[in-house]
Amino acid sequence: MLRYAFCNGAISISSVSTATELPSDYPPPGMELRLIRRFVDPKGRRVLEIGCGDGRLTREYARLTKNVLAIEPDPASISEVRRAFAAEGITNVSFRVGSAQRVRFGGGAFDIALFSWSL
Amino acid sequence: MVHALERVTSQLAPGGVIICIQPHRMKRPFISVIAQRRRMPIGFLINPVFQPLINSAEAAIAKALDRKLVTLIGKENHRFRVQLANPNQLYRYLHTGQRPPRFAPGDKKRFLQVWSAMPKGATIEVSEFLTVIALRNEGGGKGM
Repeated sequence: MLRYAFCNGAISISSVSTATELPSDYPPPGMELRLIRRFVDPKGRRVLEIGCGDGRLTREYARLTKNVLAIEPDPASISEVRRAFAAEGITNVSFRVGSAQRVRFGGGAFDIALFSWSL
Repeated sequence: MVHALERVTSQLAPGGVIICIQPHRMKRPFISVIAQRRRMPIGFLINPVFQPLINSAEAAIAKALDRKLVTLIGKENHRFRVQLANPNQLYRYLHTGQRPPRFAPGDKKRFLQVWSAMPKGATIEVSEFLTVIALRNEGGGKGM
């Protein structure tokens, strides 16, 4: 369950867990996409995401975009997220294993690059 | 991070936007105990391993700005709150990441004292703080 409130122009969101479930230490679903949209609308854009992890954020915005190239250094995460996206019918996301410094991006130019918790 | 930002910028179309979502530079997670609509603040957690990473990321962004690879569109601070049912859940929550934060000296003892005095139904609240930095590629990247 999520609670939303605006404080001094900033978004403040609460997520309330039950005794059994363990909430994520990432922002609640939807929050990051709302924050991204304060600066740029991903609709119809070509997106490069650095450090996609398990595809948590990618899943939220991928269907809005023209296409996504998601990069993640952990092969196991990429393997799992590839399977999950295929099962969910998300077909406009390509994945590469590697780091932003080394991976081949391919030929296209991107409209948006995301670094979400990928210090 | 500097090289990553440079490489990514070189792949952006002119006018393309970089969004960085990262932990707040100074505000670490803050623990409170909530019972009967009262919030009892415990304190900020500490994570010495994390601070150099944040400094490094911000330095890389500052360098990209200095070199005029990008311009700053905006920088905003936000927070979200997570409510947990008990100390065991808090412990598991804090250890979900690779670099778990910890209580400042004395705070854990105080937290457990406060918690043990709480009535049934009390919750533990973690306030997490983040920063969103938006940058625009003003040219020099890939053409459309």
